[in-house]
Amino acid sequence: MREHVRAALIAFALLVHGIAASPLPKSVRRAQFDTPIAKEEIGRWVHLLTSVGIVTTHAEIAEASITYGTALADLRTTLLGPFRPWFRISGTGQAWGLFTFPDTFPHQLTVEIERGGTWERIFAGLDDDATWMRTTLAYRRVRGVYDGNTRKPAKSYDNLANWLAARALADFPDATAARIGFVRFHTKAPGEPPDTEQTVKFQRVVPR
Amino acid sequence: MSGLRARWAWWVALWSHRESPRVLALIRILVALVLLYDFATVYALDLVLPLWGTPEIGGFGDVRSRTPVPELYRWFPAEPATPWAAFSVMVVSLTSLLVGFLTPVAALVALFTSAQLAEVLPLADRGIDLMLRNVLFLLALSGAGRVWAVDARLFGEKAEVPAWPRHLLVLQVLVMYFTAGIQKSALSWWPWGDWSALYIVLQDPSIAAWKFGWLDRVYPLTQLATAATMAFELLAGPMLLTWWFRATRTRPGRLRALFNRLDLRRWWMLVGVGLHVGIAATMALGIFPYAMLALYPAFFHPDELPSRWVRGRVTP
Repeated sequence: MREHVRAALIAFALLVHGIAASPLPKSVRRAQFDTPIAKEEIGRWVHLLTSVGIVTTHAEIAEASITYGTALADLRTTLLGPFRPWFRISGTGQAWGLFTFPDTFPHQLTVEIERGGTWERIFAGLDDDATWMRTTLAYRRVRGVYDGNTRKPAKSYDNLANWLAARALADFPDATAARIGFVRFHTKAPGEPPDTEQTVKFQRVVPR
Repeated sequence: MSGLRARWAWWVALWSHRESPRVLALIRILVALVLLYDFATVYALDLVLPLWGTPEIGGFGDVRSRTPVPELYRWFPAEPATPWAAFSVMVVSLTSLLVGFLTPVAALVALFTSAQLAEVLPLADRGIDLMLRNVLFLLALSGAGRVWAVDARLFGEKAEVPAWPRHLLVLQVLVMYFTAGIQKSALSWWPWGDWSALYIVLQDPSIAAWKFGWLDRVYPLTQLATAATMAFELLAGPMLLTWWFRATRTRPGRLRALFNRLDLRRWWMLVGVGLHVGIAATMALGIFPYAMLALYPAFFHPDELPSRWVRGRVTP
């Protein structure tokens, strides 16, 4: 009897986790299709499809993705709805989108201090001349906080910025202000026309 | 009807195997070590309050506005003692898991505490944390504490424990790789996107461990690595067959015989080890590659372990 109960429970768990692991989208928002990465990716699909004789446009692909993606996301939500409390309280689940879309518009976190009226960069990701708190800021959990705030900064970004500013102003007693922000650049593969434009985003200035 | 019964009997038998607990014990020890290292890093970098405190006490997360508010801050006050207590519970439970003391309880306490920390600041909780919580759940239900553990001294070492937790661990890892592969829909992962994905990833200053400005000089190597990553992940699905063919090696069939003769499983695992060593060397992903490699022993039946590991004083 025990073996039967165990086999039934395993079958049930596999079914639920199988649905959770299926590549159904969790949610689809129209704004997701307005990001530079999405626009570039859809542009590549338009080019690819057109080259094999399927003429389409950016808007058509985006609209189809939203329509079908929303239906699939709703299906996923409905199927997994009863198990959501368990997934939340146990922190278990299946979500394995590892580098699904490599970021062609990556963001570099920067921390600057103002000294004598000029801004000085003390940290920037992978910049060997600005290594203040590098170990901490490269730590995976901290990276997750700022990397997750590059599209639309949430409260956690302001909290992180304030924390960094307080640490910077403590470490550099002659600094009069700290500035935290991102520099966004555009990665192009070799052979593609380079894009050297850089955009400064989401700067937060914290005076002493 | 009898067909259904036969299938059910097959399913029941599939999950009723028993084996030495040594592989599960090894995974228990390795997973606990990896997680303890991660929490030691949090302590060394003085990140307990920033990561898991509320904003009033210096935390990054907007805990109070979350729906529902995590139990940690529903049941306990927003004071520094709360995240420190959660952190301490995590360290104690992982240490307990490491030495195999009250193993199922230790695994469950670590699981639910980790889930609370994830709820407090979801952005600081990465895919590998989710994977390790799934593993902790399986370890809690397994006989991982029946050997190389304090529990084995207290309650007796076992020669055999149910094999299904290890089988589910194998399935979990294969599912992770396979679904990661099929979700890679960006063109840069494919030949028609010039296999440029890893080149792009390694230009990201948040991800790359080093400056890779010189990478365009060895671009074909990054393309090869991209193709190898995709092949490895997509093959994780069919790879399940290799375990099945090994388990049923006495049955007839050319494909079964071919799979067993070539031992494709070992080649695939070797690529996996190379992939994770490559990630560890080039990307700042923290414990991810080490935690994944800590699960690789699950791919081996205990009988495949060195014989001196399997010998010992046991009670059936």
